[in-house]
Amino acid sequence: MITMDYHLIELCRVGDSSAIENFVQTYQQDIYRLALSILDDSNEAEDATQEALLTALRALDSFRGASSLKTWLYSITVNACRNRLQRHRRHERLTNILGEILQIRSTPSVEESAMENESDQALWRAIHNMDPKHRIPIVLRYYHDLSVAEIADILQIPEGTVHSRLNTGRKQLHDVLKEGRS
Amino acid sequence: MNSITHDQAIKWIHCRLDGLLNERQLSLLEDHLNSCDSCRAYAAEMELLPTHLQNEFHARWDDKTGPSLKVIKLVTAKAKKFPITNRISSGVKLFASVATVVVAVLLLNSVISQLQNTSTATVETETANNSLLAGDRLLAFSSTQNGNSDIYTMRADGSGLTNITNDPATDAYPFWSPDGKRIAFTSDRDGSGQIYLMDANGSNVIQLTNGEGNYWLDPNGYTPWSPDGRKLLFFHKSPGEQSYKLYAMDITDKNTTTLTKEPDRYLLPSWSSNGRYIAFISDADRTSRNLFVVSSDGNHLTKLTENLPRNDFFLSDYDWSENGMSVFFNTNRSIYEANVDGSLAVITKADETIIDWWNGIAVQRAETHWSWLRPDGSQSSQDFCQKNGQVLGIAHKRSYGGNLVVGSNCSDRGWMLYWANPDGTVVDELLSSPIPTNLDTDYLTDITWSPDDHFLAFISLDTVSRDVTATLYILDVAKAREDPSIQPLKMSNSFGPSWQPVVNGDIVEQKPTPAETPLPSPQPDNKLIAFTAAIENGNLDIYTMHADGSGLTNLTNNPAHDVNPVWSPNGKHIAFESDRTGFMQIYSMDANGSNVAQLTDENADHRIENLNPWSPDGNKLIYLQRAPGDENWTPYVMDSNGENKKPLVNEANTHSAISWSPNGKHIAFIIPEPQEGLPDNREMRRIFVVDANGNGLTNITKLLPIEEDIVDGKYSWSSNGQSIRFIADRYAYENGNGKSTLYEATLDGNSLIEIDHVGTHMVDWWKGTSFIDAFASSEPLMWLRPDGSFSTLEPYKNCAFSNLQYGPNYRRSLKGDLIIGAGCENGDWWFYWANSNGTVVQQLLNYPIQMLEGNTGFAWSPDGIYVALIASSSDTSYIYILDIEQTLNDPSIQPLRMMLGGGGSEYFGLPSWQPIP
Repeated sequence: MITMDYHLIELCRVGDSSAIENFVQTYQQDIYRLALSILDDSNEAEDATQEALLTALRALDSFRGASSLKTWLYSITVNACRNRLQRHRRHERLTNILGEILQIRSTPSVEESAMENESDQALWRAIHNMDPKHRIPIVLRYYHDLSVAEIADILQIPEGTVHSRLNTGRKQLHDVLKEGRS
Repeated sequence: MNSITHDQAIKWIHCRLDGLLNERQLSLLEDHLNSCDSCRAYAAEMELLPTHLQNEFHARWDDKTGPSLKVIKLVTAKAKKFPITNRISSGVKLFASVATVVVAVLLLNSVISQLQNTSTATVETETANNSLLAGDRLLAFSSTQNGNSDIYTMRADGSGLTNITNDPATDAYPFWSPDGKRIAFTSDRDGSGQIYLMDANGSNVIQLTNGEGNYWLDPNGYTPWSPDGRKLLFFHKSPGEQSYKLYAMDITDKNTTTLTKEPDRYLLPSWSSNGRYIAFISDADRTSRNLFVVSSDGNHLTKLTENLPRNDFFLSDYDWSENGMSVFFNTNRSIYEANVDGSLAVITKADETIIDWWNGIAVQRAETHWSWLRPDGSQSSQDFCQKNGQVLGIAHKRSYGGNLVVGSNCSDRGWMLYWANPDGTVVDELLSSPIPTNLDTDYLTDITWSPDDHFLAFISLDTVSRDVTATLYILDVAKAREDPSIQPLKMSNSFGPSWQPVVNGDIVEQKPTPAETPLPSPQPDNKLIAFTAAIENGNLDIYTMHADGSGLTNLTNNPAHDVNPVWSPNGKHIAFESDRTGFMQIYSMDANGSNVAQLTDENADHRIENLNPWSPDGNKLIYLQRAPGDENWTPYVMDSNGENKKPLVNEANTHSAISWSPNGKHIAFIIPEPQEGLPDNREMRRIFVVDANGNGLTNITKLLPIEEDIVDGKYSWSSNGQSIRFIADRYAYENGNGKSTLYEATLDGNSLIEIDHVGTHMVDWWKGTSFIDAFASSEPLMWLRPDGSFSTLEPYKNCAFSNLQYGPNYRRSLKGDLIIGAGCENGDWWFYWANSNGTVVQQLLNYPIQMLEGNTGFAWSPDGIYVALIASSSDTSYIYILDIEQTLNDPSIQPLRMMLGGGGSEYFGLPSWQPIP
């Protein structure tokens, strides 16, 4: 992730147009990619990116530089994604109920349609079924190549907890892969 | 240590994956792996996993591009407005103008001191005197015109300007009490910020708070006064703390309730109109703002924004509904109504940000204009004034009567103000000369309508750099609409306007004052409830008592079983069943148990259980009779003195839901009828009607498709007694082909009109709102309203997961409120209340009532105030009486409970409330 000049951040805080554009251009790709890896749904990731960028820009006043800007932005993005994951199930259920009343046939979920390769299905099903508290460290470690310390900073949990969550996640996925091979 | 254990090795394999081992540990692990085949194999597999995952992740996500240009543009456009909108809408407003000052009162002092250093106040009334009518209504505000901040009052035309605090300390942010007699304010005359109360003329100053740290009234939006004028909302921050808590104080005894247990950044607290709840915004980490409600006793903190769907985030505006049981709030894309229990319904959606909502009319803020979107689909709009294609500031405020003032800042021209009627069909320019401004960041705040919609007060706040200038304007809106050239009254270095709610001359009501005696206790409720109980000697008798449990009286006092009392329509007599002759017979007695009359005397059993036997005029009774050895019952009608008994039908059958028409001319009931054409001639329930003499038996549902069945075996009469409404559904519903239809049938059965239908299992219908119980315990109950909005309730949310659940049972009151009960497998029943169209749904008690033997149903008192229910566990039955409003207010309340005796609910039947004469 490229980091921005702190002078530019100051300008963003006072609403300078070109500084804000620069901020959005600088960070949108990384935020989107993080959101995509957590939500595994490009539409959801778009919305989470929008939410995270707006949240960050609105809250720039509270960014004091105690953590790196990247860690701070990643924390905001992870939180936005977590909220989405929590809301998702409830929302989906309501949509289905409404669909039933209005006799609308619901479309298959993005998650289902994305699973094209049958051999990957078991692994991806396991990834989707994982508790986000295990899944998020796994994607941060193995897609975003972050260290345990960086993940701990982003998730605001002790390093030991990150390690144990990675362990649990790895064991689950290892078992799935092993079962698939046998 | 020269070697590690097997278990240690497995752990360290994972540690190595996370780069957590030092060189020595790595070496020890390597040694172990060299000597342990299984560990080596496991390590190899685990080492492969990261590569596998990395490949999978990259293959899946790398080629996905995003976010779209739309997101980037939207974020950029919105973010540019943050420095302005943050300050306008955050509720921090004046406080936020000096962002570096954290302690509220210090900050207040800072703003004030800056005002003190600028020019002294002048009342510019040269033109204003001509343009404003002198009214008696007073405006209170803070001003630094005497060098330090004091509180002033004056009339809307600027006359009668009086410094009512006149204290060397800082006195600021006055709030009128609802009766217009007193003013609460914040002052540091004690050395720190404290809250004070004074009379309208500044006399009788009382210090309400007296603790360490700072106390203050929120200056940013809503009045801190509870609607009854007894309580004040305030913030308190302990010394050295960054965050603060919200409290309510009863000014009569200074008792204080903590409304937010955790210190945080709270904004815009406000009372519900019924005074039972407080809503507020939490701005914990400035990354997400959320709306909460808490009941006035500090319990039941509920996050209303918890379940916002994707794409929506809470903006900072909200408003209580009129009944105080729900809150309207806006997100970036929708207006929601959130019930105090947290359930959400979308009221309206739009592509652009909705800034306001009023009785179905949404006001939307687009890039260049406001638009009013009306329920009939029509729209109107008003352009912002702009500078270089950009609007520099936006402000709006709805009046008490629904009119809207909207303003936009276009810098070189200043603030333009417009008045719009409630639906936006009339928009008038208010000022031909805009409110002058020199700076792009100037903004309009503290916009305050007078309660009669006549005057508007607002502050123009100039906050560029650290020099703050606040100017108070007062505008006679009616006059400005007629003549936009008039100038508003202007007071420099003044802020925090508060209009007197009641004009002096109109004050008639005395409101509570400190140290005053408590309010008089409510009038005793004389309503009686009749019920069956075995309180004395285990023998079943009929009792009455008041709703509060007082006046318990055994009316029958007879060694026989006396059960199932039902009040006559005039509330003077009670019909009941008794086996004192050896058979169950029908009796009547007066309300005090005197004048007992045996009405039936056949050597047969008689029954009035589960039906209201009394004709609307009280002159006749219907009842069921069954000869010894018979399986089925036959409905009869008789005079209220037991004469002229006639069977209503020729054959005994399983008659149910027998009822009189409201005009007393007909009697309806339900009989299951085999349907030729259905497999096994399957039986479907049908509604029959006879006249009050038992003649003219008619199947009024003869036009109903044979595969449809009367839902729940119930129906309702039209008020004129000429037709019957009922819900029918297809038996095929169970095969997934569901549809429920609300029909209206005439009494001759020749007309069957479809009123409404839904594609699932509707069990009740009230003025267009379908109440849906989809049968599956995993799916919530649902209210579907005619405008397409809906709300839901998961009645079993408090149960451990189980397939075995009881209910849900529900019953409407005469005014349409619904009580719902749902039983978990362990016999815990949970109760809920919903208003007639389900826009407010609330859990009634925050604990379950145990009734393993089931729930007999609910008996609403005719005025809808109380619900009685019988709860039976394996060996004991109780009657509960819930005061619904009281229970909604405090779900931890213990309702009246009385033991009826041993045995299950089948002995005790449903209680009967004395009708309102």
